[in-house]
Amino acid sequence: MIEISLAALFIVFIALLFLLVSIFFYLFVKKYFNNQTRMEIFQLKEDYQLDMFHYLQTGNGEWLNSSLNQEQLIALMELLTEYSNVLDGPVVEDRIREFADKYLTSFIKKELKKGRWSLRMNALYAIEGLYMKQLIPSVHALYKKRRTTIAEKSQIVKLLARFHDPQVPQYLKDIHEDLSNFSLLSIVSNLEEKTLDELIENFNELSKKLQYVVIDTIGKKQLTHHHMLLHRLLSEDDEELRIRSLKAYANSGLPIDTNLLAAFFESDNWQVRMMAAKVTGVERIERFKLQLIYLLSDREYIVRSEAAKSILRFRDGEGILTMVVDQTKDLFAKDMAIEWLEKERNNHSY
Amino acid sequence: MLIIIVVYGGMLTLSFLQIRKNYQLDDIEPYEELLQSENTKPVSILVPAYNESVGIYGSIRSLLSIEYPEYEIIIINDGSTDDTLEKLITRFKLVKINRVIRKQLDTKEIKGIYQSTLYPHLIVLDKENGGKADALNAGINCSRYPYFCSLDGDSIIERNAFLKVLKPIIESDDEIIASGGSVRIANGCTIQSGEVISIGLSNKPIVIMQVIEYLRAFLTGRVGLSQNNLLLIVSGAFGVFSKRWVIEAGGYAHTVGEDMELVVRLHRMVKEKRLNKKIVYVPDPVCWTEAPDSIKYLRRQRKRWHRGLFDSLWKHRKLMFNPKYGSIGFVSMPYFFFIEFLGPLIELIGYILLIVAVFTGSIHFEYALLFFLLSLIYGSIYSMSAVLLEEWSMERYPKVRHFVILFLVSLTETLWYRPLTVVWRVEGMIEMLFGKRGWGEMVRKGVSND
Repeated sequence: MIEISLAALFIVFIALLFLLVSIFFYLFVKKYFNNQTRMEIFQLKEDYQLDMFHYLQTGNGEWLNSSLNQEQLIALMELLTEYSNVLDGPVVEDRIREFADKYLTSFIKKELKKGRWSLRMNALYAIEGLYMKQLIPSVHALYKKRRTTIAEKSQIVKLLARFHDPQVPQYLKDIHEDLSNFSLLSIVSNLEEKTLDELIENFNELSKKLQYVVIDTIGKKQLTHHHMLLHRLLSEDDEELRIRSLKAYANSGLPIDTNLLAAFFESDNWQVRMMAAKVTGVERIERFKLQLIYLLSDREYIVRSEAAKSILRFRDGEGILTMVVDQTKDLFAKDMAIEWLEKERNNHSY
Repeated sequence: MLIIIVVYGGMLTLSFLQIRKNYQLDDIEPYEELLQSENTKPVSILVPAYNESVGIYGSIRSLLSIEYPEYEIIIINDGSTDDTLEKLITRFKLVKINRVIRKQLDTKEIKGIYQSTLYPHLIVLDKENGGKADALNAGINCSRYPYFCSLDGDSIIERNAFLKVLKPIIESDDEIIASGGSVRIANGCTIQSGEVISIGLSNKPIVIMQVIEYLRAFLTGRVGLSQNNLLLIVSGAFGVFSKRWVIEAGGYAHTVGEDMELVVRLHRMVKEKRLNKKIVYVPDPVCWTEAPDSIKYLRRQRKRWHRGLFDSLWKHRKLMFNPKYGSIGFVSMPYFFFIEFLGPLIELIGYILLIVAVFTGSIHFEYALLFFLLSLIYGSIYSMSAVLLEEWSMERYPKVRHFVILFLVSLTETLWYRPLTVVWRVEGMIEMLFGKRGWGEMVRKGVSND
């Protein structure tokens, strides 16, 4: 019995040994060749660097052969992406795009069709970074494939929004429930103003998730012509909508209807009170100075902090906080006032 | 034995699939947007420091140059008896400030709050000694931002690590409440002013062995567990947590392994409150830390870890095989108890039986030898697979020579390192039975040149 087991064990041992040695040699050889390739690419980038810079400055791009191998293409793509991250301006953008269109189109097209997710993603990043509008049809094709993951779709919609593609609103409606707020915000704020206006025209038909993002975008991009929408939303039943529109007022500095704002200081929701304090500070609404002093004693730390910050935005803000420090019996309010006075004197907004 | 092989093999396969998907993904582009966007959530970095005078400056310097749009650094001087605070005051030109602390967690008294005049987002809390958990809780109270990261005072973080570790949190719309990165061993690397200049390997086998161990634990175990939301450790050296949920769970507890305990408690809370929340592990962001390079301190560390593991498991024993806690109760807890905690004891008994059997002649010698060779090869294959995963994911060790050394040293593991750690862990169990508490001291040499 032991004899048989021994033989079996020996076979297992040999098999495992073979596996181990194979992994070792695979890694050894792969590492060696990878290092060689990386070194070659590094060298190529060094060689191309000056010519590439010269091309981006002057437009003279006659320094390359038309038949390029894989390493040369990777070196060019990496170099171009690095320049694209540091150089700006329409002329440079055009030159980057022209160069990429001429030399990299078929390479990136192939990469888009690769089986591995990371390579397809890299290709999408390259298309965006190198402004390769020429590849938009391939990008649409990738979007429609069944195996395309949500991360890819998110990146596709993002880059299409940047290229002002007309399909974006439809894609957004299709997949927005699967996208994070962060991605949605980035996509919507990249939309052309005309497209964004169309989206806002049909505001009521949008899902709640998209509505929130649209309001945030109005505030961030200071789209003042949509003030009627913000005004209307302040009276909505949905509290989140009210908070977001207050935030949009605070971000855009649009004048708010003070009669509507008055009620928010009494809200049960601390986020509403905090936003009310913020808007009052941003717009320096004299009428609500007293409310801000009152909010210095709010039960929520963040509201007290925002109130103190807002008071300091008024010309006599320092005087008000000093008065609070001298007169108040509420230690919370006093501490907060002292903290912000100190920040003001040290010139730290943080 | 078979169960262990199957469990480890399963985790390895999961890790392979996950890492292969991300292999060769661009290192910069996916994070460009996070770096430039004003919608990226700010983070508070908490650094508890107790007698860290030697390493603290380099560590903080590395934090000042991280790539992240908005963050604050809060160093908590936990009643150090050396010159940690004085060093910080002079090096960063600290001044005492008035700051309101929102006391959401109970801590020992805060003696003073300082702010750097060079870097306004650098804050130092000076408090009475209360242990690491207490220091972290004080840091949470003082922090301003919705996410915090706990970082050991002697570790060096790579510049883009925060972007990488926070990416899943930001992109999940707060569904992910904790995210951990990889920890690597800094011994042997050249580090200047808080930045890793070149990556190298120490020439001490005991350190190289730990490098392999870290690679294995982080790359195989955690990626596999994270995929299924079974992760029970977000490393104490490097993890980002949602402040709101940590406070809700009661903050850090006073125990030996407070990092693991917190994660178990978060898991427990998620299940008890039926929340749709996750804890993930991201292999790529890397934090470099000093590993013990002598048997004495390594032994202390391992004994402590093992006690910490048991503390967490014991505190949350209710979860074990409890259907209410789903996969955590049926997979993670049993895995950590039977394989990670009891495993060493069983292994030690095996070693002893083997030795006894050899001497009494009640064992077939060839049989024993073959088994021994098999375990040697199996352990090695596992380590090599981890090295392979490392190659696929991060390629942090650039030279072919590094890789050959890792391979050769890993072959010797079964002969000396494994039995040693087994004995230490069993020692930890014994100490636990006799109720030993506390950290045990480790002398820091400091990883960075100032």
